[in-house]
Amino acid sequence: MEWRISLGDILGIFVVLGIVIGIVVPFIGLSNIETRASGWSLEELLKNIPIPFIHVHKELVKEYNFVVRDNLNIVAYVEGGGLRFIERERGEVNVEVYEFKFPWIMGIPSERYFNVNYDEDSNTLCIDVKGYEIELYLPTDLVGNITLEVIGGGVEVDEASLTSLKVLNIKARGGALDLNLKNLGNVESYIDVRGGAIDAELKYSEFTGEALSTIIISGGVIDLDVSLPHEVKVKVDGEVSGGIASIEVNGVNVSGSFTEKGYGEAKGKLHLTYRISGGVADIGIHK
Amino acid sequence: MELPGAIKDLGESLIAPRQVVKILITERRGLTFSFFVVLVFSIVEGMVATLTFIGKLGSFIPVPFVGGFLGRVALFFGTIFYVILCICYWVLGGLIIHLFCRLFKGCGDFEHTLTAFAFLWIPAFIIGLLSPVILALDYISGIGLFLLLFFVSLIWGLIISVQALSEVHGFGIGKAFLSLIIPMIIIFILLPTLITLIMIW
Repeated sequence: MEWRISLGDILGIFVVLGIVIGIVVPFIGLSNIETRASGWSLEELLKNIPIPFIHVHKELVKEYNFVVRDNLNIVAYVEGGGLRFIERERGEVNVEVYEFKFPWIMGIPSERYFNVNYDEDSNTLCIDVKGYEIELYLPTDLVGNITLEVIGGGVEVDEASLTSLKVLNIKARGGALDLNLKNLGNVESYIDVRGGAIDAELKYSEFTGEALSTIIISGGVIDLDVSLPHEVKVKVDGEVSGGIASIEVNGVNVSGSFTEKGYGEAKGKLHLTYRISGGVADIGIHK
Repeated sequence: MELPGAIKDLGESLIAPRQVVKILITERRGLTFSFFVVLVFSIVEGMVATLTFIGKLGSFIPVPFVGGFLGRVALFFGTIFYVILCICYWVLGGLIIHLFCRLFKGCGDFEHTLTAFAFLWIPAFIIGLLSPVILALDYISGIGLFLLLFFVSLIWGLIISVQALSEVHGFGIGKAFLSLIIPMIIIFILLPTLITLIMIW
């Protein structure tokens, strides 16, 4: 048996190799793509995209300091720009408003505003923002209620210990939310997603009573990861009438209803209700 | 012992397109071979291009799940879109090329024109071969290298396609080049300009 290899044969082998590599490598490359930006910040985002001659920096526009009480209510309406929650030691609440300075080639004027207001009587901090970045430094253990409505832009809550949180109300119509909440107790949460994207990690500590969690999705994308202590039992109810959904409890896919053994007698319970009629949902509960 | 015929044909067509196109036509497998070539190489180009231009952008989106999700959606739809575009371009472009070939007194069939025109896609294997390098580079450099390889494969493809076209229609290289280049100019320059002008008007 004799091999007769011509230049055409060698090129043919290269062509076949090119086909195989060209199809296989994009799949491998895709699974290795990782999120490079650590937050939603436009400045960080643009730093990661190496566009020559474009340098974006932010400038402090206004600063507020409020002395708040326990059980603080936070009501935020984000239409654009961004809102970032940053945990600090006990003390007053500090709000910093930043403006992005773009180079002249990107200097297209657009409508933007911010409104920061603290009502002492109701112990409520209201924030409205579009086109600015607001950094909210606060002792997170004082926070009792959070209401977020996001139309555009981004909201980031990174590793916040919300031990006193009672109500978490999120409405997403657009934009992106990156939430990482820990030490949650008996929290009543309501998440309504009609657009945009939510990447949330909720870590519960031991608690007593029944924590209610309602998730309604009719558009957009949600990746929710709920972490529970071993003692807390879980019950899941809901229906999927559209979109793409994956609901897992301890790695097991749950379709429709699921009640963990010992739920009725447990001191701490989490009752999650979902209704998915569109969008993409990846919900995982684990201990 | 020899390599399978299809692999041999793919390799030979890069250096001796006249002989390969003659064999394909004689053995009546020109259309199957050319459809396979357009399909496979448009998948390769489409996947690498989508991941280079759009998929990598997903990594800049700060929400991890969305970044990866967008990449997958972009790869899927981007590749399908590019494949459909290439097949449409192959058939419609081939039709216009064939009309020009007839205008230059070419004697080949439409099937022969499609076979010769499909040679344009074969050098795209270099994009596939170097795809690990393209994807390993940063965003701008990756796009730069992809465009460079795309340009090289286009020139190489033009050279072999012109030779194949000249063989199947039995006319000179000059006429074959004009038959191939004029439809390209029509499709890529005149048609978009005309559409833009109509839209403005």
